[in-house]
Amino acid sequence: MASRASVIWRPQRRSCDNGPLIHDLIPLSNPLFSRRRVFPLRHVLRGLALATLAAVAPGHAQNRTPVGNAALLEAGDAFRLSAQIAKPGELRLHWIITPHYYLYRNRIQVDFRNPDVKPEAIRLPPGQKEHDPYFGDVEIYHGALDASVPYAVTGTPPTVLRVMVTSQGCHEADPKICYPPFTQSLELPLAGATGADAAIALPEAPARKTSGLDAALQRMQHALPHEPARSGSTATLPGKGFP
Amino acid sequence: MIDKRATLVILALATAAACGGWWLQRRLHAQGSAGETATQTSSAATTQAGSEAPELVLPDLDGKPQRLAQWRGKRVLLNFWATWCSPCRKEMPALSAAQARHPRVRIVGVAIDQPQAVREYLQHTPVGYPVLIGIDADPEPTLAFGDTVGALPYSVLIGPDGRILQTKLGPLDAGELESWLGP
Repeated sequence: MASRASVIWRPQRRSCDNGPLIHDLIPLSNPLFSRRRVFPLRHVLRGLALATLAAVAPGHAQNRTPVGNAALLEAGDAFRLSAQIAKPGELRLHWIITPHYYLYRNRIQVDFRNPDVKPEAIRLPPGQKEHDPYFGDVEIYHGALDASVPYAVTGTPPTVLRVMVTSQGCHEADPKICYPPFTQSLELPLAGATGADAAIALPEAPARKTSGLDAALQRMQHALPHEPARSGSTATLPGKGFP
Repeated sequence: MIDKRATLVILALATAAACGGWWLQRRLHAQGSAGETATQTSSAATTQAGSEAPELVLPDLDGKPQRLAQWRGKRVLLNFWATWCSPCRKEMPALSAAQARHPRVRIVGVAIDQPQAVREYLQHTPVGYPVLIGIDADPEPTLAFGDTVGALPYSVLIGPDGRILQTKLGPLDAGELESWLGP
């Protein structure tokens, strides 16, 4: 199985312009390289099929790479978020950040909607330091990001942890664009939650306001840069906000 | 000897097939990308270019409602921006200079941002065109004008007859700006 994967994916780093790929594509143990006098047709066909497949495979990978305006992503697709209750009292967040996009470290905020749940400050790793000509020194994330938010249950333990995660980022290749603060709503079952059992795939919050609630959320999102939420159930990063 | 020749033939065939497959895939991919772009342009053409610009009434920096229709008869460039958007800020001086060069064209900034932040920013970095506040508008003005991704900057060129001529997600470069605003 592993060798098949290697056969298919190795050519991603090369093209036909770099010369024949056949030695990369077909292991030397392949019957094609045996010392048999006669070459059965099926071996020839297998070789051709492997070679063609290997040549086509990188293209499928390329399809995932944004190209120009046609592939600019909505925020929920550019910054894919998942979450889990790693252990009682700790929410873990994981972002997969699409290549050519980045998230601002100081624009990540987590709000707990359960009244009896009190979060601590979100724990984020150091970001990549950048100097923005307009915002000064900022920290940004590429690729993947893991964060955690410890929390305490002060009253009746809820069965579902309701969390709103707000983030903001940009597309750094041309055309350079930036997204408004983007909030995703998460619901994580708490009853009997242990480790990976609690991991869920999270729905994306509506990117556009379609109802009164959405409109309220949208307004809250837009209010974030200058009016950080102050509720007792909010985990914020100190010093947030652009100049 | 036969072995060696047959091996070479098969290797040549396999290499040719690999290169052929790669070339075919690249070609199909390129066609696919072009097709996507064409579809998007075509889709935009259906809903955007040539279609009537939506009615737009937004408050200016003093809170006074301003109608897009007041500039009917002029070419209008709507530029959606925000103070938190670095590429928007970078683009604005060029827009301001373009407004000075093309007085018969009306550039209008629409800030998807808090009024106070916009006012503070424009005090430091004024622009030579009016700026309206679009953050609390319903429906969202960016979406109404075709910005389905929801990011900024986003620009829309509207003809004197009130019909949409062009849209662009991302900053306008100097060439695009001149071609949009030119004679």
